[in-house]
Amino acid sequence: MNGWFEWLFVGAVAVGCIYLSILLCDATLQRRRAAREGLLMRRSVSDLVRMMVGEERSIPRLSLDRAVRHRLLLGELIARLTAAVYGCDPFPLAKLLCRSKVDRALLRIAKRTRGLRRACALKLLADLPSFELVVRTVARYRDDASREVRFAVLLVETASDPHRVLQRIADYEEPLSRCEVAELLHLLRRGLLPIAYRPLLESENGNLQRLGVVLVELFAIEEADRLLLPLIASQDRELAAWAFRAYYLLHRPLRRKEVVAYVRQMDRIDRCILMRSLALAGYTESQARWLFGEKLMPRYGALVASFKRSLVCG
Amino acid sequence: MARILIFSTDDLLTELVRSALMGLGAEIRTAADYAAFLRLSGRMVFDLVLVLETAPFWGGRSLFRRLRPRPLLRPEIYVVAWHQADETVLGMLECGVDQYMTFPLNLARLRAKVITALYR
Amino acid sequence: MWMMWGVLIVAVVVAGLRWQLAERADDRRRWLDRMYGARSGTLGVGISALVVGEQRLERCEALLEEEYAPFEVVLILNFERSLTLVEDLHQRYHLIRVEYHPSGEFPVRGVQGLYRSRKRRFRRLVVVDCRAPGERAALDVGADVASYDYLLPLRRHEQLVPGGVARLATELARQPLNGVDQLIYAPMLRCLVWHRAALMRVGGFPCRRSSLTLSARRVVVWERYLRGYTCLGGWCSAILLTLLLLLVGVVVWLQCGTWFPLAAWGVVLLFVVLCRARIRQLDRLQL
Repeated sequence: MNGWFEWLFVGAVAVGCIYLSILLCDATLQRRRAAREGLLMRRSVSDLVRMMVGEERSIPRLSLDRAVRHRLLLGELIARLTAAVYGCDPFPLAKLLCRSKVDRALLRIAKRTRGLRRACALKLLADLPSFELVVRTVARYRDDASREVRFAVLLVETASDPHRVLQRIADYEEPLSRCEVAELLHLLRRGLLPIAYRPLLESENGNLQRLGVVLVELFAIEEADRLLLPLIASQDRELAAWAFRAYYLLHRPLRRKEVVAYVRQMDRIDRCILMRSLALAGYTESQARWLFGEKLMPRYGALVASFKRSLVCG
Repeated sequence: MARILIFSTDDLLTELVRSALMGLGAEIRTAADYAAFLRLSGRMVFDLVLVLETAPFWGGRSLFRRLRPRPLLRPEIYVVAWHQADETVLGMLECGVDQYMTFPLNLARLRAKVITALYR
Repeated sequence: MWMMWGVLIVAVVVAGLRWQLAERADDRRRWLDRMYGARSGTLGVGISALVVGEQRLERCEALLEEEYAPFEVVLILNFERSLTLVEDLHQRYHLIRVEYHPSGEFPVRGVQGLYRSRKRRFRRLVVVDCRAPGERAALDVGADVASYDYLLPLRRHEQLVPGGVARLATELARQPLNGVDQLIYAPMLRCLVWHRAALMRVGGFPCRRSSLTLSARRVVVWERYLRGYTCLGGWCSAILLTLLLLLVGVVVWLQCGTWFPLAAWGVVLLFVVLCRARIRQLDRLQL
């Protein structure tokens, strides 16, 4: 084998060893620092809470403010607190973040890394009160190869501009997964998303319809059932599945032509699985008869009897 | 002086709620695990217990029955968690929980409820 | 010499690849931990854990104390062999016997009784008195009885890592609704989670844990969701690789007069050991 290749190979492996040693040492040091950093974070919570409820007008110097490497901890802390609390003035926190340059640190990390690490940095930015500069900077990642990064960019944009939330979700090119819709609904719980389900369900846009379906399911909005029926009959099988799930979780009547047509196209195995879900949702045999016919009803009856829901509710 | 016990495995949430309840003239203690919870509840009588998760109720530990044996109505037990489903809420009420609140929390509302619980 | 260099290159590539997969798994764990959907229960994914032959009440308690809401624990026990546990379960969870008829979805044998709790807060516990021979038959019974569509069979000493169920549910919710047949833990080549429909198509749990369906609807994960098991595959491969490198080193030492091949072998061995240490470190973070 050529001498130069051998040297190159050994050199590359040696560099790999050095890199791994640095990672191992860094992780070990981090573990040792974790207890102290946890203490610093806890000490900063009361100052942040006073800011959030408006008792503290000026921006305090926090323990976490002092060291550069604690900026990210400050960002994590603020993100976790803002996720757990609503109705607070975000402006003091935004000023604190600006002073501590947390957003710049996160943007630098996003620039240096790729894939899920970039997505994590952007997700943390989405959880913080953000500025226009941040939104403009992250726009460059809209076409990133990683789906998680693209979704994190959507979260940053929606969190920073609540007035255009629905527009941005409608413009998002890929169909949202259940996990992504749940994440967007978290914005609603922070007061950044409107709760009106009707425009969502009546929209032509698939993503808005998905958001509307999960909204209806989350808040058990029974009067939305008529709006779910056209979605159950939709050509988009995924959307139809979501809509049907929301429909039966709302315990709406199964004797609707869209519902019967939807179930009729299922194979035997999917119908058995549906039977179990309906029994768990609390439908009686007479309610489910329209979907399964007389042959399968004994099986359904056995499922209902074994769940014993009425006994527990008593 | 009124006494409040906050029970949660999440240190930051515990600290958040503790900071939000400061200045009410109550002594606030925190427990991060069952052992600490049992130790504190064995030594002191609390007026209010705040639990920031639902997991302790699902396993069947009789922690809270020991804390508030029938027919006592004190301490009041408030649970704050992320779940919204009816089954969760009803399960909590069945356990004897007095109030169930969800995250995200409104700190002002929490304070108002705690003041009402402690000083009515 | 060619063979020696070939072995060294393969060792570096294998160790490096495994290390990178562990780093990506750690990144994925951090990403999933940032998702809030699992906390509010809007993911639309329900998981039933199937536990066969458990003997300790503490473990049942630990399994039930899971924050993720749409989660169920199905205990498949032989009541004759687990009298103490059964008594404790009855007392603590207020069990009542309910009707049971096999659904016909799985080959079910030996079920003597099905028990649920009278109390709403213990609804996630289901206990089956089953005398079926073998773990596979017991798991089929558990699958027949379980309420949710995703089934997570657990061995006797296995436990879920903290937050494991929520992360599993989030991982499954990234796919279309009911769109995953199997979730496979790659280091053990083991199917962690089965979808009910996939199991029904193959007629129940397979004899070997590593059996995979022919379906393309699989999700492969490298991050850890269980603890309390021994990953024999990982250890075996690490030991084999080290032995192979030692063998190569001995051959090099015997045949070559120069120091360079020996140094190369030493560097490669160090790289493999450091990769293994890093993987262990990331593994511990996930526990």
